[in-house]
Amino acid sequence: MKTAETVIESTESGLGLEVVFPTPGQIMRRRMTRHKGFLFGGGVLVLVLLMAILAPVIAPHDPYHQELTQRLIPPIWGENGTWQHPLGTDNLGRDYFSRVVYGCRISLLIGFACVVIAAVIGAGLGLAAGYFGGRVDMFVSFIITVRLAMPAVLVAVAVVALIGGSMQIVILTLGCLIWDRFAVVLRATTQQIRSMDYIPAAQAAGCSTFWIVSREILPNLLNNLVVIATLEVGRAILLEAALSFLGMGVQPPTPSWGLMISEGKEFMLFDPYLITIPGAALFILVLGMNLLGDGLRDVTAPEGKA
Amino acid sequence: MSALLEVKSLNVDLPLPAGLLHAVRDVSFSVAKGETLSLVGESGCGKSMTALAIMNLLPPGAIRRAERLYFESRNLMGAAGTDMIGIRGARMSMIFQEPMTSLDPCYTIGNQLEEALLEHRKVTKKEARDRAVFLLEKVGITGAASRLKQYPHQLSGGLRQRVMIAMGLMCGPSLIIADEPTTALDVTIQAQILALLASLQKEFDMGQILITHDLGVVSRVADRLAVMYCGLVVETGHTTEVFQNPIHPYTRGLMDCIPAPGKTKPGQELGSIPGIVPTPIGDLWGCPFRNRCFLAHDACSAKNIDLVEIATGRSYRCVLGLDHLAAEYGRM
Amino acid sequence: MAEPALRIENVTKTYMVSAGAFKGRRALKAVNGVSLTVPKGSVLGLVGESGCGKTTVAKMVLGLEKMTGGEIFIAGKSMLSIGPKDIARRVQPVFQDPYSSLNPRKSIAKIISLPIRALGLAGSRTEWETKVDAIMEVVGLPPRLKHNYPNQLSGGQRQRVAVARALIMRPEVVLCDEPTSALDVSVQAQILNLLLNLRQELNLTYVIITHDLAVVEHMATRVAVMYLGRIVEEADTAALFRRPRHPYTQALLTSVLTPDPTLRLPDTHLGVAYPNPIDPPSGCTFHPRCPKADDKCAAVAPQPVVESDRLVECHYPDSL
Repeated sequence: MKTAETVIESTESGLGLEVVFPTPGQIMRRRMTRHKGFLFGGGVLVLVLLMAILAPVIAPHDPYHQELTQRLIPPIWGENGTWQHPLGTDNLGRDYFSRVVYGCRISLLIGFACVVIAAVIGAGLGLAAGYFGGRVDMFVSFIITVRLAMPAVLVAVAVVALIGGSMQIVILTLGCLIWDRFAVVLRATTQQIRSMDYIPAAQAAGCSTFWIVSREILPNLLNNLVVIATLEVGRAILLEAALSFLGMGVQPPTPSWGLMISEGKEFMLFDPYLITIPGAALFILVLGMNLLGDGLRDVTAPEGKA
Repeated sequence: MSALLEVKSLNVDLPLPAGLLHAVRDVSFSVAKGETLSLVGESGCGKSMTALAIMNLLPPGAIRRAERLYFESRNLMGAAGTDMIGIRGARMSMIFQEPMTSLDPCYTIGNQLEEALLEHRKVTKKEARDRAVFLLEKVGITGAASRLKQYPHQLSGGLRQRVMIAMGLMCGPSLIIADEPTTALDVTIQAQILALLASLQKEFDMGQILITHDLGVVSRVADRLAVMYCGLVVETGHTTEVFQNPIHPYTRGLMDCIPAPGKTKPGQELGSIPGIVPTPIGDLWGCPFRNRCFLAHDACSAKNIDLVEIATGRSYRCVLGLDHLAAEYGRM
Repeated sequence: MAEPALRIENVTKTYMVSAGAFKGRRALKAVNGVSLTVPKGSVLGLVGESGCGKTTVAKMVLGLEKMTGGEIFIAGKSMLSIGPKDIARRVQPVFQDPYSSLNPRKSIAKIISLPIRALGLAGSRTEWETKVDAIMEVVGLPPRLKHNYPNQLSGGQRQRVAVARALIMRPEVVLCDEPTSALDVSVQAQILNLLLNLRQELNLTYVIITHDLAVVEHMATRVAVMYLGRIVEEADTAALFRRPRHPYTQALLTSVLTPDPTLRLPDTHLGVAYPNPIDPPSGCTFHPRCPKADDKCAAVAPQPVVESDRLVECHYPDSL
């Protein structure tokens, strides 16, 4: 029932336009189709998503299947390259292309899962601090400061060293570590929203605190939330790759791109493709997510006082 | 005697996604030394844009055209960007509306005042400081010397506005453009600030353009006024003339809107102008007020309605003649 | 005599603010003992400049701030004894800034119906939409705007939405905080006329908080002037404007610039700027700015004196 069309008096009247403001949805849609970064980043994400979903269809081989007679075959552009293994094989004879494709799943899964956990924690803390202020704000700010003082990778490494590495552990650990940007930004945004008159108007109308936070404030935070989430996915993916590279992330034989780089580093001098290919995949995905995040921020930015 | 500022046929267009916005259309006026001209109108009428156009401070992308734009006999239209630097702030100053945001919070008052002078004149720091103290005292700030070390956030809104005025005067300009200088201030401070501006103007023999929507302010302070609507000037004249005998229906409508003790009856409806101001985008012709005017008829959509000058400095823009209008108003 | 719509009894609000990095906390008396009675169907104008505490009084009446002392009775019921939902049913606000008082992410229908939905009085969607249609017609908003968003409306239309939201539940008291200051002159008149008409039609009671004395004179039946947290003068509108007794009221009235080209700028004789509420002057808080002040004024705070339905708090008020 969203017939929120604007009324525009035609310019033939010679008076100019009577009402000219489009709905927020229309503004966003118009901007989206023109923003190159948004379109490129979105395209990359869609591509990787499709590859992840359709991995069993796209990948020519089982990523875990070792063929020791086919070890270290270079990719198609090297000598002895074959179309059987377009991106070559690694030191255990596993098809690299299949591993890259299945690696999409790992990266996306870990990236998004971490961000969901981080968003819940960070948004919760930020909202509480921004809305209630006072002691709550002091407490949350303290926690944020403590968290910012800790290097995320080292803490993750320590946790994994204590408990052992697996995908679930990595997701939980990283999720509990990367919420800081959410908290900081959403706290500031909530404070801004708090100072708008529609909050006291809602209070005066009899809305409960829960109602105000979830139905009046949260919708106005969604823009920021989505932008930060998109950027943090890139960060989470890189962190996972770093952990896996250090051997402190997902365990072999999982086809994580970071793990692939780690396993390939011994052969780096003669078979550099073992690290450049997963490296390039990481680069493209994270670049795409960052461009998408920046694009989202531009597309959802407020028009100014209108 | 040539006027201090001469504006003839000033146009400002702003390209927007929806089309070309004609913010200022064919605006002409002049300001003499020691005179206060007021540009009156509601938000969106183009009065602030006119001021920015004169100072050449328009937003990027704006297109400014004028038949004549002369200040102190210099053609401002021909002046390149660098030439304006010598004029803006030095010969012509602007005072903005928001004293909270027009002063830089990172620098002391003294710093900002002195900078206003040092940028334009080759004087020593001490001379700049002395002039700052002199002007702060002129604007009624006690303990001027110690105030120089204070930061903007340590002063109230009224004091900040006085500092803004002092800053505008540092180089001894001949023209001051005040854009809603008292709107953000309390009522009791408002009269003081306006009186201050008036006395300084007399003392330094400056011209003043006062931009405001407040007819009360205009009536007490301005010598002459120009009423603007939708980018066009719809009426001009000496303040007393216009207030005692407003000709244009918009001017009349505006005056009827204001609760005035003695004129409007408490508890009775105020006159109001129905409808909304159109946004001047695209091809425009005819009278911009015709969708809200109670006297509108077919001739109002005519191609171009020019200003009709009925006496020196007194003009209005309407197809209807004076007699017709007088008769209609007499009926009301 | 019928119960007044609103009765404020000796209400105070003190904030503890830090006075500096190592100086501990000091008391800021934003509201320092305010008492007011607003009969049903009347319009009270609460005037004062920034820092006088009128907005804080408004917030306390709305239940948005807790009183430090005193009591507020809405239609006879003490605010301390009823919950926020009951307060919401009885008092509704219209705020100053139409650009910030409407949630940009909600449609107009949702915004207007918020009070009835929040209080659980709404019923089904069709029920509250019907109520929204009715109130939109009453305030003069075209029905096609129901599904639009605030950014698509003009300032005047937005303020009408705010009025509709305030009225949809027929509250006892409508509290308008500078309802027209942020609007254009021609739109101000439209909103003021709307408020006047609605008052008669729906028998509403208004408290209008403003610094604009011309608006007060036009709209209010009774006026209370506040200075630094206290009411310094209160009287029926006509009486106050004809014969202000307190020097501050006199200065305020002189400062009002009516559009009269035969007059020049007034001299209010006020001098020194508004004092800091954290550090109020001794005795009568107005004495540093008062042209009539003497030693007694600097030493002793005056008591409110009620005479012929007028209240003045001054040692030397003008005679009646």
